[in-house]
Amino acid sequence: MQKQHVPTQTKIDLNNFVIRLGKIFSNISILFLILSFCGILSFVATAFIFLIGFILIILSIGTVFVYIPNYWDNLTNASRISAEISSFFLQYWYIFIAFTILFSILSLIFLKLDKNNKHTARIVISSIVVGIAIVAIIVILTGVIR
Amino acid sequence: MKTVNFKVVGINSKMIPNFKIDNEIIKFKKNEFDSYETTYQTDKDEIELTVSRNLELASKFWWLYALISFIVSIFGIFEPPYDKKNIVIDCKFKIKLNEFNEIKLTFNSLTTNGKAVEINTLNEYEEIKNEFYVDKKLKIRWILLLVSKILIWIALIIVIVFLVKNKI
Repeated sequence: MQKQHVPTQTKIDLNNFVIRLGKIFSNISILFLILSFCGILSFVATAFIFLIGFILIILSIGTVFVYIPNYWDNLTNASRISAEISSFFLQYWYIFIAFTILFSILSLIFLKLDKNNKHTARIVISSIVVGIAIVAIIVILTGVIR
Repeated sequence: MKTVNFKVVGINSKMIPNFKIDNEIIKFKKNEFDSYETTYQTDKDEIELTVSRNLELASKFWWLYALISFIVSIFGIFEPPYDKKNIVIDCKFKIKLNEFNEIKLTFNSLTTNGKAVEINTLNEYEEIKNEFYVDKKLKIRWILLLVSKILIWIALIIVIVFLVKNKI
């Protein structure tokens, strides 16, 4: 038999609100995790733009320069913008990862406060987010990736 | 001491109602067959079982909670949606107890109105309330919230366009 102390309606409402906040923080933590990896992703994107550009040159046997006279300028401009975006995300990497951990831990605390329902899926997602963020910090701090 | 074995079928993770026996919240455990079970013990000869649903928009400070959620979730982008259907469960049963009691509650699928629960027991019971219904007040709140969000987003877009234009 499992009995519980009868909570007041205000407490129940507050509990629902805290769970809502937990879900919001869980969603925001995923956003910050993506942002913290954007530096690496945009670095890859820069390389990808160059790769596609060179493949086009090779496939067209250089005729791409005839059809698009400023092809090379466009290619270098696109890569430059991508590199700038990449450097912005890499510069603020620590801020994004810190917010990722903060929001996912807050979400875990808030979701664990609910004694009536289990939010297994959300808790698992937030735990994975914290795990990835911590592993990423360890990898960076130990100097495996610089 | 009388023992009551409760079994609940037909509920899912999206619709977990609150069960109270004589105003005391009772927790159920999910079994391997996706139904919920619990055992309750009492000295009373009769118990009052109530089943209800906690809807966020039914809260006294719903507007305050909604406002804070909207701001914290970056203008609602990361906010989980509020229950759109606003279906309320209102069930109340008075059940006379024997020495050993088996009570099975089968929930009907969530409809806009109709009978909520089928009760299956050998015990004598009185059905005081047993219904699903759409709470019109909550429905109005939901629409009000949606309209407010749309208006805020329109205002936000106007401000952004104005700022960008002025900068250019």
